[in-house]
Parts: sequence; structure tokens; C-alpha cells
Amino acid sequence: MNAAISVKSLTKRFDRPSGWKSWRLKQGVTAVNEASLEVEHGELFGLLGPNGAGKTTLVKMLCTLILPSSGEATIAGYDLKRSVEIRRSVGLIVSDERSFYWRLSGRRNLDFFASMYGLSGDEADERINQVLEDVGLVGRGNELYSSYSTGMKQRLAIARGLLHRPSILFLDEPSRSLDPEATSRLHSLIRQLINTKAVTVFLITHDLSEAEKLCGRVAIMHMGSIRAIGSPADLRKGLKPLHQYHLTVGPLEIQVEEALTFAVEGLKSERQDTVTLLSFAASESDSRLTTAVDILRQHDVVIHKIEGQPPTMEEVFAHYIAEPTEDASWAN
Amino acid sequence: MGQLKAFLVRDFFIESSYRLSFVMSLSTILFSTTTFFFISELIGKSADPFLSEYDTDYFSFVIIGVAFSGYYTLGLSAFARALRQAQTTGTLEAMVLTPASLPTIVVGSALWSYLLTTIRVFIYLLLGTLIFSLRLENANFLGATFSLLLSIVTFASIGIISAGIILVIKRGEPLTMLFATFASLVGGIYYPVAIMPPWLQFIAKLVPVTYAVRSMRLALLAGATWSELAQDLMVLGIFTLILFPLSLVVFRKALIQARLEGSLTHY
Repeated sequence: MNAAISVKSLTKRFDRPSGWKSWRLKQGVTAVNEASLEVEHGELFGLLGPNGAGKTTLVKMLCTLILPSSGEATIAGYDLKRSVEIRRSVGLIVSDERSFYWRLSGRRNLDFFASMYGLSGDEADERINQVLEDVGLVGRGNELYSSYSTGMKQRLAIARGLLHRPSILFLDEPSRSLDPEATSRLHSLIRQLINTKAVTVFLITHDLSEAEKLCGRVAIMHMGSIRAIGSPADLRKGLKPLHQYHLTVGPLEIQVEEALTFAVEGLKSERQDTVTLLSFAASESDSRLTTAVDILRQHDVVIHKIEGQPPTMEEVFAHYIAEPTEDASWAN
Repeated sequence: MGQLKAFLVRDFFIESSYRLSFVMSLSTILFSTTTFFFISELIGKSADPFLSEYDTDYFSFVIIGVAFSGYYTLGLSAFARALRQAQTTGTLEAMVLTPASLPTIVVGSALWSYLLTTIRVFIYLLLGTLIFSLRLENANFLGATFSLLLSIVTFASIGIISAGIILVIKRGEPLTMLFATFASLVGGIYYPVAIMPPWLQFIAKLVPVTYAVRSMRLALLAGATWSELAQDLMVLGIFTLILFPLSLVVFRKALIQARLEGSLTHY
């Protein structure tokens, strides 16, 4: 079975404009550089990256709004050249409140966009009722869009994205400008869509916790390149050192502290009233923790507590975007 | 057709949410019609030698010119304005993401303006005949309709070219305004072309609005036959044959350029 989204070496270079416009852009910019990824049907896939990473450009190419410079991609089995079929198969939900008509009700907005998808009459009414129910806006559809809260506007954007029953949904930073409660409701809605509508969701975000909470796999994009792809757990494993260790031990004599500092690279110690806090980073495969424990035992130092923390998603993210582009060759 | 109807419904509901503005814009027709009536009274019969081919007075002459030139200014600006408005309000991207083609979106977005202009033309003619001295007893309405259709396609073609330019360079209004003002100057909307110096009369021959308002006046005021209208209609037809395919080519190229630059929804 084909992947829902298959991208091979997709590149978008914005060339230096010719003529009088050239002053605006002195050199061409490669917004997306040889991006490759695959998303399976029914998967919730996250695309993570800082601002300007090229995430939106990549998604706009996949939605046929921007023509790629090179490379290829199939969306729902259609080559990028088949823009009409792709647009029938995908929904792009952006967090831009301005993409609706503020002086129309939510329902009239949906009515208009349903017509753009070729839906009319009873079929359109039925779909509109269904999507309003899906996003929890039944009973609010006849209110003016301008009176909606930010969360309601976002839910209406999702309703619009579902009108034509797309098999793939692109969500571009859906929780931007939502409060925690609205964000939580949005996340529930996205999970519900995956479970009940069997849609493939491609989530663009720079919110690491959101990606970790929702996505089975994520791709980290930076400066136009896909730096890594995998589950959040897999990406953590790629990090060396893997864990951050914190040891709470008894008071340390100077020579013991010096022995530890010499033997364990990166060790930091902090003397407190009755204890000393030691911290260092180490991977599962190296012997830093064993070495530290051995030294402490040799000097009869009491070990009160050993804590090992996996790297946070922020650390994973920082690690991959700090790597030079060439190191991304293992991605996929 | 369903998509085009959706644009009309959308714009009807948006427009009807600005009721006062709608009523005020229609009331301006009454004021301008009255103004032209008094100017006509002032001019009296002194304009008659220049209007002999239409067999009419200045009031009827100018009302037909003003009413139908609305299609010209509309054709020039409506498509580009609709596109630009959708870009700036952020709705263009949402529309472009649907399977509706961009030409459908651009034409659909301008439809309401065409409907309003047609209503305005009817009100001009109604006020002119009921209250003032406009006489349409001898009108060749079929010839007028044919002239109007050719004019609309010609003007719209220029407008679609303008919309294509907007797609790429994001600005085009000053150029459109220049064309519209220039057409008012030489196209014979407010005064007959014959009163202008010969070199301006020559330029007037290059502007489609000249043939549009002339054939409309001949058909509505002088009741011109098809053979009498033939020359103007033929010129309008040539403009249509050249400008319409050209507008499609320009717009298509502009669309590809905008998608290459990734600036389709930028403003």
C-alpha cells in the first residue's frame, strides 16, 4: 500500500528575481533542501522546526500552492502536478483567523467553502451539520464569525478542512494563540479525528510538547533540511549523551571531588548544608556513572539518591538543529 | 455555475450587512443624474450640432455615457480589486486550496460588482426616463445588448490582465486608475469626441470605451440599425478577439510565476 505522503528530494529555491525586483533579494534562498519523508495512512506525523526552517514552504508545496524547484512527491497517490486531485484529497488548516468572512456566520462561511468544493443542496447541508458537530460548534453555527472566540475560530477552520472529507489533513500550528484549555480541547479533537475519521494528520508545529503528546513520529527540520525523523523516543536515543544524572551524596572531601572531576567528564558539583549534589550527562553505553559510583564507594561516601533523566524534547530539538546538515544523512 | 452562484450569495450577505452604505451609493445616482440635468439645461441647444448623429440632447447623451462607462471602470478594476482584497483579507489562500480554479475565483469575486453596476445602469435609465428627458422609444435594445456584451468582455479582458499584474507585482491600482481617467478624457463619456483636437480624436480611436459608448448611444438614442452599428461593433469585436486570449495567457503566466515565487497569497 502506498504511503499517504511520499516526498523525495523535494527542493524549493527562491531564485533571485530578475530586473527591478532584484534589490529585494540579493541572493537566491533555498527554503527547502532535498527534503525526503514518508507518512503512512492514518498516521499522526509532526514536522518540528524553528521559525524559518522551511516547514510552511514544504507543506505549501505538498498542497500545490507553491511549485517545487526539483524533487518529487505524491500526496494521496497523486503526483504534485495533479493539483486539482490533490486539493480534493487534502485539507490545510492554518491558524490565520483572517481566512474567513467576518461579517458572515460560521455556517454561511462553511456554505461558501462547501460550494468551492462542489458541494451543494442537501449534501452540503448534511456535511456542514456533520463537521459542526465534529468540532463541537453545533448551535453556534448561525452566530457571526466575528463574535467567535479564538478557539471557536480554530475549530471552525478545522470544520472547513473536513468539509470535503479529505484523507490527509495538514495542520499548520493549530494551537498558536490558544489558551491551555482550548489547546487541550484541540488535541482531543485531533486524536478523535484520527480514531474516527481515519485521516492522516500532518502537524506542523514548533511546540515540542505538542509534538511529543500527539505524534507517533516527528521530523525535525532546520534551515530547509530534514535533520531527523523518528518517534520522539527514537530521536532521544540518537542523542549522546543520553541521560542527565543527578547524584545526591554525603559531604565530599576536596581530593574526592578532584578525583571525580578528573574521572567524569563534565561533572558539576554543588555543596549544600549536609549533602553534595553531583550532576553530569552520560549515555547508556559509557561508564561515567559506574566510574563516579566506584570513586564514591572507594572513599566511603554515602550515596543518598541517584536520578537519571532522559533528555527533554527541547534538548533533542536543540541537538538536531545544532548538527551540521551533512549529519542528517542517517535520517529516515 | 454553483461556484459562481456561491460568490453572489456570499457577497449579497456581506453587502447587505452594510445596508446604509448600499442605500447611500444608490442615492448618489439620483444626485448625479440631477446634476447632469441642470448642466444640460445650462448648455441648452448649443451642444446640438455635436450631437446630431445621436438625434438627442446633452442630458440623454451624458447619462448613457456615464451609466455604461461604469462597466469600463468596473472591468478595469473589479478583478484586480477582488484578487487583492482576497489577498489582504487572507481568504485567497483558503479559496485557492479548494479545487475551484483561480479564474473561477477571480471572475466569481467580481460578479457581485457587475450585478450592482447593472442595477445602477437600470436606475440611471429609469430616473432618466421617468423624471428627466431621456427618451428611449426608438431604441434598438438587441443591438445595445450585443454592444454591451462585447464591451464587457473587452473591458474585463483588460481587467484580467491587470489582475495578472497584481498577482506578480502586488500593485496595479495606479496603472488602472490612469487608464480609467484617460478613458474618461478621450472616450467621449462626458462630451462628444468631435469637440476634441484632431490628435486627441486620433488617440480616442485606440481606446475601446470610445466604441462602446458610441455604439450604445447609437443603439439606445438614435435607434441605429445593425448596419449602422456594424463598424463600432466590429472594432469592439477585434478588441475582444485580441484582448480576451491575451488576458488568459497573461493571467496563466502570472499564476505560474506566483506559484514559482510562492507569492500567490502575499500582498
